[in-house]
Amino acid sequence: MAKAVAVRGGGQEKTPASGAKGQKAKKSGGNVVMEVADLHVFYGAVEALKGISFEVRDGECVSIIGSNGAGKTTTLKTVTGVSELYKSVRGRITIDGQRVEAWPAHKIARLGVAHSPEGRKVFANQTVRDNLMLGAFTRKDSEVDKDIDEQYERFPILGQRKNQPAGLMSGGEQQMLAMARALMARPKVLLFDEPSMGLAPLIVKQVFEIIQQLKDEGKTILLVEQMAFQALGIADRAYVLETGAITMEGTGKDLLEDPRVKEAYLGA
Amino acid sequence: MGFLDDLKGANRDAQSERDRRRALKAWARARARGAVPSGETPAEGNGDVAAITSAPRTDRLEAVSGEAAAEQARKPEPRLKVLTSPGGIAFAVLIFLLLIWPFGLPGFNASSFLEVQNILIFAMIVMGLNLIAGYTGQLSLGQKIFVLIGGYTVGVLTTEFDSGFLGNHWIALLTAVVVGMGFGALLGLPALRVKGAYLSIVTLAFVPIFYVAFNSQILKGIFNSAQGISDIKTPVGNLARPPQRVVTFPFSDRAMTDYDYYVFVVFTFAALFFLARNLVKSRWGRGMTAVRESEIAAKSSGVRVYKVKVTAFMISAAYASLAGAMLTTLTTGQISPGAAPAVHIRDSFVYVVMMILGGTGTLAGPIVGATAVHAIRQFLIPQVQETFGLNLLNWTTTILAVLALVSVITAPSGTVGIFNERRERAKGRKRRKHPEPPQARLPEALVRPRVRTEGITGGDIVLETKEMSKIFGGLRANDKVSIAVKRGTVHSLIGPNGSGKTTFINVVTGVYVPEEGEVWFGGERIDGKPAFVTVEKGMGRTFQNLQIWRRMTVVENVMVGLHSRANAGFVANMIRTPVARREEAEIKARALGLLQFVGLEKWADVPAGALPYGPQRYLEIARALALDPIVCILDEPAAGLNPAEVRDLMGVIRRIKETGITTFVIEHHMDLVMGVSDEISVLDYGKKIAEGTPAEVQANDRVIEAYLGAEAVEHVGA
Amino acid sequence: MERFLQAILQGLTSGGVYALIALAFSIVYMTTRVINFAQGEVLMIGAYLYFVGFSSSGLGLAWPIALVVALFGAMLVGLFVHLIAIAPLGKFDPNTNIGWILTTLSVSLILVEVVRNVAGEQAKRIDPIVTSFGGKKTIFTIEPKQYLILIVGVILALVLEVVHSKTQLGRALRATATDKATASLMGINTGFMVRYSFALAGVLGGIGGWLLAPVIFVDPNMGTLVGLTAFVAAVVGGIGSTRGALVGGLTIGVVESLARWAGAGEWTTAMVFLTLILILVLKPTGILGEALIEKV
Repeated sequence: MAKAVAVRGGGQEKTPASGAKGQKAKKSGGNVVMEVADLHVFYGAVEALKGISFEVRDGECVSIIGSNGAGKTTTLKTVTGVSELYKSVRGRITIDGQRVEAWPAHKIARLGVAHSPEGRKVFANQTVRDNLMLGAFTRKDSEVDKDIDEQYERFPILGQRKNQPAGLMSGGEQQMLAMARALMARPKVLLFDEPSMGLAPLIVKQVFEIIQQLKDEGKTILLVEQMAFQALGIADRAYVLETGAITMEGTGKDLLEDPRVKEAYLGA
Repeated sequence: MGFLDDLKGANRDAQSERDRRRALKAWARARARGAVPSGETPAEGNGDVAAITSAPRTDRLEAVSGEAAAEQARKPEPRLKVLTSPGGIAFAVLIFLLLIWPFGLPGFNASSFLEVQNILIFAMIVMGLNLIAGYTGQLSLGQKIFVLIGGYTVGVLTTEFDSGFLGNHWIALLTAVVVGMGFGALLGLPALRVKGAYLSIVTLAFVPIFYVAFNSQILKGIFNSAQGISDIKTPVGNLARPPQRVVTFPFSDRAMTDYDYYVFVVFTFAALFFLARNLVKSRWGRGMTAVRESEIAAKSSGVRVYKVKVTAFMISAAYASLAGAMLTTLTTGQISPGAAPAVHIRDSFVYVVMMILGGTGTLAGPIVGATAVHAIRQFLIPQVQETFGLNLLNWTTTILAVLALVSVITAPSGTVGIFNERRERAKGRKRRKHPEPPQARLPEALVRPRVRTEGITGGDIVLETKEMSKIFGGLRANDKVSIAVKRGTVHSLIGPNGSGKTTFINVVTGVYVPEEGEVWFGGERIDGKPAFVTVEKGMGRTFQNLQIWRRMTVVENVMVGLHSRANAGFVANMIRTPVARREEAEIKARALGLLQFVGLEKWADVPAGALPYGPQRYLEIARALALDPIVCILDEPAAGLNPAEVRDLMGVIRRIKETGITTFVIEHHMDLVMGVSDEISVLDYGKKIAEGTPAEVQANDRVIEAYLGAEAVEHVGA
Repeated sequence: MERFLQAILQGLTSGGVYALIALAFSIVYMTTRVINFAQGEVLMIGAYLYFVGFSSSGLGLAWPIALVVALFGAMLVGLFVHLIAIAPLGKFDPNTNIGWILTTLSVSLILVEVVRNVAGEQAKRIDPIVTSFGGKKTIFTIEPKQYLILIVGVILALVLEVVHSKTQLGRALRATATDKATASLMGINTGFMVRYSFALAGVLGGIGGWLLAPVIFVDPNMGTLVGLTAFVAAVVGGIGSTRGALVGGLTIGVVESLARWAGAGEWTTAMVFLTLILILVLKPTGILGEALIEKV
């Protein structure tokens, strides 16, 4: 990918985006819901994440963009506890005030974290409704059915297919399901891992429209994406991840106009 | 006719090549010193090696010794070299001791005499099991079947045909082996169509079927159902036997004594061990290990997986039948079905325990395991019982099962395996402390990748898809894709995640069958044909998620790539015919040469798993080149490499191109793609959206949009 | 004709046990993709525990209490199998790393020998809890204790089918098998799900032992053949499917019985296993098996 920027490595040399204002982006939103500080993750001897730090505040939409292999999915998986590399994690991960680096995934989920994984990972042999019910697994209240109807409203296609096995749906439909499933948990923070992957442009548009909707409703979102420009268009703040290190951060708007972002993706 | 003849041809040109080689060596040395930046070959620019003959002249002696080293490398291993290795000496000593043991060495008495023979015979069974389960990775849970088959064959023949031809013990023994192998094929062909647990369960399920057959009333005429067969010919023992019920020497009427037969048992044991050892060290042994560790990599390297599995299974059946025949002859001269199938399931399980305790996938493991289990069963348990008054005999199976449990959980590599691992670690430490001196360079004929020319038609386009579509359910993963790869070029395929690149490769390599369109390779239509057809025609590939065989050495990995280029079969390799040995030497020499090409020669004897990540990628490339491929497919070769390694890789790709091999690269790493490609095709949502030179593709709006999204085109512009 | 009907009924009743044990196989397979080779032995121990509790030479308890004791014990045995045969293997892919075959097989052999040493080889007799249908000793020469097997088997299968498909627990179990990592993202404690399935399989084995004990008598080897045949039933019906377990169990029971009626005698067992081999090689997902819905 980008030559000079990648080689710099380390998480310390972040460049503020050179946008219209030319100053460091102001952080908006309320309390910090999720904070990651100096996170290192190793694949054996290879360092996949080289000391990254970022935070997500209540009501914000934060995006982490980067090209393939940059470490985006590793980041999300480590934060939610499903990384196979959990033994090699160093650093701090704080969710809702709790230190969760050593926690098993199901415990982290119960804190109010809903992760829509890379590749969607719907439960293919169970129906759409089953999948939604599983999304609400951690809930003990009586409004689950009401929420299911809400999802059918928000995503009409799910309503049409509610009793069909999830595995037979198209990629776009599965993405809707994954997002609805995450919403069913009534989570404190939503994590979307590359929702655009493998989807046709029209569907990607729809997906981002939904994310925008959720953002407008005040939901806290962490969006990890390869489609840089879509993601930057939506995010309040964003970070650029390159080969395991965060190299740029700023507001979505500022990064959108920064020519180095394009360089990072297509080579010069 | 294959690379062996190419090599001979190369020798003939040696004289005229000498200057060129000398110059190349000088360059290689200069490069090792850092005087020449990596990524550049001496032939850079105008493809002319002569350009560097102006390099400093090398010492004539060194040039000559380089040649000598190459000669040495190609010489076949001397036939009996094995006996001079420490393992060989130990084994020879063991055999010697066994032979003289009855003549005064301690511990000898009537029952221990029988015990030892039992151990040797069980070791033979486990050797066979080890071949199919330990080396090839197919866990057979029903080996007892073949033991029974062997015993019954000998039993039936020597009682039915008595003094006739078939009644001769030795003929019966041979027949037992043949029958065993036959049933090995009969059971193996269906069983090995499935994998993993299913395979094991199928082998287990055969046990009750055979039990019923042996125990049945319908077949009572042959097997005598529950009573079984007795009065089978045995050697002369303490029992006074009528003359025709005694085993005689081959071609003679002289009766064999117990000791005579014992010698036969010892020699058979040694022979079976030797044969197994030869097999394991041959290309078939490597093929078996390759199948075990990664079937897909084995398939892509030219190993016919199903054939290897079935053959190994048949050999294990032969071992077990022979052992069973000897066991029946040796013990009481009778055989019966036993109380229930559970008995034979348990015995099959015990063979597995022996294999595990001794060391799965090692040569000495079966012997150690058989001895250990026997010692536990026949000595330790009775001893402890006597000393402590515990009724342990009734707990034998439990003790063995617990041992198996503990072994599987804590030490899956068994006794010998652990020993081997320690030795490997020590070697590793020694290597790090005393790095090996730089080796003499092999002649270029061995080092240079070679492009295959035979059987290729089709002119300029060497690989092509025509309106090819691959459809999953309703999803068009590849949608009417037409890509034509020109011979001798570097052609790259790029596209965002999910655009269908992996699907494309799987179609081209024969893993998938396309629903629409055609795939042509070297002038031949290949869509719908099994994968091995394309591999054997000359399509090599590397894998995005590295499929090297970590427990084989680096050079062995490349040697597997040469598997399909040799001809000597299983049997030829087991008995080490001259052809087999010569081929083995040629394979090794060529593999070392290819390692030099990618710069890994000093890691040759290191287990592949110990290599750092970058060199592992190069190893896969060397293995793919071993096919002398027409097309070499590199699937994300730069994944996980640091920038320096990527530059190096670009150099390797360029050097491959010079040899005439066509390279097809799938990549995300734009610097590499733009830097090394002659032509780039771009996929998006299964369709080809752009094609052209790097510059053309980089400026293409649709490509920018595909990668960064539509907004990118507005914001940043083309 | 009467004999034919008898054969069918006989087959259905033995099929009931096969169905129960096939259910146990399927439940464990559902969450772990592992086949518990010690399942037959769990049935055997359940039978022994019931014997100890119920029979006059044992504790002489009322049969409901003895049953509860037996089921509790069987559940513990189920958990025990998980504890020493599966848990120590840690994280593994059951398809490639087949150490679990050896560990569960080891446990099954150990259990047989332990019981044989503790309780002796001799078969024990147990009186059935139901001896007559209000006066009639048998219907079609099948005794009430055999019909009980069929009834309990079918009821349990139906109950489990409902639980499995309509509750969060059932969904969570299936999710654990499909995709452990994503299941845990939902907040599902996958470790608990696995242990639960072994415990449930233990209870099912115990029930099977309780039902079978008055019919074929209790001895250390009673579990082996039943276990293997039930496994065939599970595969035929489709391993991993509760409906499949019921269908497969009853089918194998009837087929076995008809084969004997037709005179196959000793070859019946061989036939059963030949069926297993054919199914595994030709259609491993079985009749009702969950065909893998795979998307690229």
